[in-house]
Amino acid sequence: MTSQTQSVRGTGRVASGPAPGDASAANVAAEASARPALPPVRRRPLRPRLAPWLFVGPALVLAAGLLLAPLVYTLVLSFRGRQVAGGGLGLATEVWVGLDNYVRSLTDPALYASFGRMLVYALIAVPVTMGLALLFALLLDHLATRFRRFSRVSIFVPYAVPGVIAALMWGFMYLPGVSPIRDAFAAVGLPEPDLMGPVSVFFAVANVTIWGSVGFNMVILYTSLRGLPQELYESARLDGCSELQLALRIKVPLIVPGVILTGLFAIIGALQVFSEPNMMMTLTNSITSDWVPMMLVYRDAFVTNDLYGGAATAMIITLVTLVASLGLLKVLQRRAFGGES
Amino acid sequence: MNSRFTKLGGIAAIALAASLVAGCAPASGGESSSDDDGPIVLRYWSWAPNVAAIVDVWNEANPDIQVEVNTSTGAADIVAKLSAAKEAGTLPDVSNTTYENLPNLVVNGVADDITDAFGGYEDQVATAAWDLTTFDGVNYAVPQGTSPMFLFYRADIFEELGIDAPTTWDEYAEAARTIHDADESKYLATFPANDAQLFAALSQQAGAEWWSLDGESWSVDIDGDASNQVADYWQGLVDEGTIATFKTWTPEWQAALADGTLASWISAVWAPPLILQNAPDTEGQWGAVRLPQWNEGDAVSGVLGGSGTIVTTGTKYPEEAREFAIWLNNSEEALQAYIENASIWPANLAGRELPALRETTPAALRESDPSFYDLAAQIDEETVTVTWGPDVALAYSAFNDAFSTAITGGGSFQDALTTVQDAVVDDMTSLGFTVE
Repeated sequence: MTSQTQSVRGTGRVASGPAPGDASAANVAAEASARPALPPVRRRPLRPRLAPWLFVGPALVLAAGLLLAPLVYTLVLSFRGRQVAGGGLGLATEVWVGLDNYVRSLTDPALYASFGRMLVYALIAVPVTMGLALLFALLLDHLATRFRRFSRVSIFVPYAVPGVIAALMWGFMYLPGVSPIRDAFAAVGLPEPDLMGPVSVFFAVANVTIWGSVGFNMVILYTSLRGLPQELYESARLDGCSELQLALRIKVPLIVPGVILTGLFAIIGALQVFSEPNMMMTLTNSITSDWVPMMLVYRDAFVTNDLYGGAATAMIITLVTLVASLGLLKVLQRRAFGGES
Repeated sequence: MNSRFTKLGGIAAIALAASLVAGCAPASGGESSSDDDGPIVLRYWSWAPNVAAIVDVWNEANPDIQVEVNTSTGAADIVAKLSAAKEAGTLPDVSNTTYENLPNLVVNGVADDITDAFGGYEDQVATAAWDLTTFDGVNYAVPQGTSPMFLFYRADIFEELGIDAPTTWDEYAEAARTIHDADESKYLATFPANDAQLFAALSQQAGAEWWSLDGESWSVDIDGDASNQVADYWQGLVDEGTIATFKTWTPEWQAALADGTLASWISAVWAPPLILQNAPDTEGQWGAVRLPQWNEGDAVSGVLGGSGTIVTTGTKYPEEAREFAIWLNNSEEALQAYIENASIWPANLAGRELPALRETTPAALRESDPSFYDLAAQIDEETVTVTWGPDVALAYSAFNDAFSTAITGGGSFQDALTTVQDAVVDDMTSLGFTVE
């Protein structure tokens, strides 16, 4: 019973995660006052215990159907393979190969190289995204201009552009033969930059995802900021706090849980980066089909027709993602969720 | 980034809504279905432009066998999609395939044996196409067309610079230098790392056999002498900087084709409409000649694409599916519709004589002598016989990666070919093929 109450409460908390403003301040206060008033668990009527399940039920069904079932199927596939009988153009049959696919995947230097490139990309994309999102959120929270609404929307709008289309659009702007950016450099007499060279391509890809995700993160952080009690600002100002100090010493520490949560999402997103580089691969020689781990899986499963090897690599990436995100969550739990275990 | 979570949520919601709707609606779509009274419905996968117009001709004439066409599958991912469909038990009845990928579809048990219905058509079909779809005397596809290779060049630019259309690769290299010397921003051509098919065809012209099958055992010779000769030739031009290295089918390439940055394109009989689509202002300014030769006076060409129609092993109506596949590529009304709506050079010999084809010059080209299609027929005769291996898609993907890396990192093209060779042999060995 206790565990049930907790899990229900936990679910509620996770759901309110994207708006950590209330999570940190408002909810803590609400809970603190609500807790002693709760009747003993045993005497609770049936209805309130059912209601939460009714609400999370569809989500659980969806998770099972769309996440768990494909995961199990992928796991099964990863232990299987094709074998051709009868030489020449003999027929291929599906056979059990045990751990062969995993051995092949884990001994493939391409896998480690792709993780390396993904890390370089993440080191650029995650801090810049988070930094810009925080900066914009603080600016919007501070500026009492008439353009607040317009600025907010214009920073957020790129989020509405699908990744593939954004990659196409930016790819067009990077491509040497048609790039308006290069034209602009040439127009003012500067040397034209190679925007998709072997090194600059990391920034080129990161730029597409940063441009597309800053707005979303900004909105989350901005909402957190708006949820902070105004009295804090007032007393800080009375103590002679400047606006800059207010932002850095009052606002930022109070929305740290929100920053951590969005940062975690950003890291998981970086692990899964796929559509942007995959799209840009068709445009440039600097991106190969095994550039990042997800592209490697896509190539094996859908280009070179090795569904089984692709499944094994996918399972490895899933494991890495799980370990990385759960580990990080464990470390950051206190800060991210206000100390609730 | 974090947006993925919300996107997933959105997808989940849509999927849920879709499944709810599907749950209420009567089962439809997924498989070919027919009521006892209703017509048979064949599902056909194709990527040919305007193919629906051709299928309409059939549907009007055959009320009992209706064909539904699905054009969402491209030539590049046809193997992956068909293999996935086989896995899921939802194979279409009939599908397009490139000749390169046919062996893969045979090995994966997707393409069905159609010898009973099609075996008698040998006299009516171009030999090259017949050979590409028949293995060990068994027909696995009805050939649709072949792709005689051409060098398309901007006749106006060539005339301006006083260059003749090159007949040998030496002259081609000279033309490349002349054009680049005259204007540093202009090139004769680009060497595209993403066009393994083109490189394979050029290697075949030089005498390479990337795959060959002797009884039960395969030979793979992707990094042999002939391919290395081709690799060295292009590496020389790339290192000199006299030709470009950007990829084909990109906005950059389209712009280059349109504004004369590229003065030529090695392609096939199906290219003129594409040239016009990408560079409409160059109408009537292109010349089309035979591929440059390694030795003066030779006349050899490689195989650049081409496709056929398979009947899948998943069809419930093999008789009807075969009938449709044969009609699609051999009947006069279908070929007529093909020539009008999609640009093909039919494998069917009678189709090649159709006035709609012979009495016209494609709009991109200037009037030529001999006519474009007469030359196409000649080149078809000069095309080498090719055996495609069972993992061409893997070879092409490895080629793309290895040559991209060689171009950006300054590596050698010969090493890149060795990388491709190793990848292909590894793959075939691990699948259980005997590779010598």
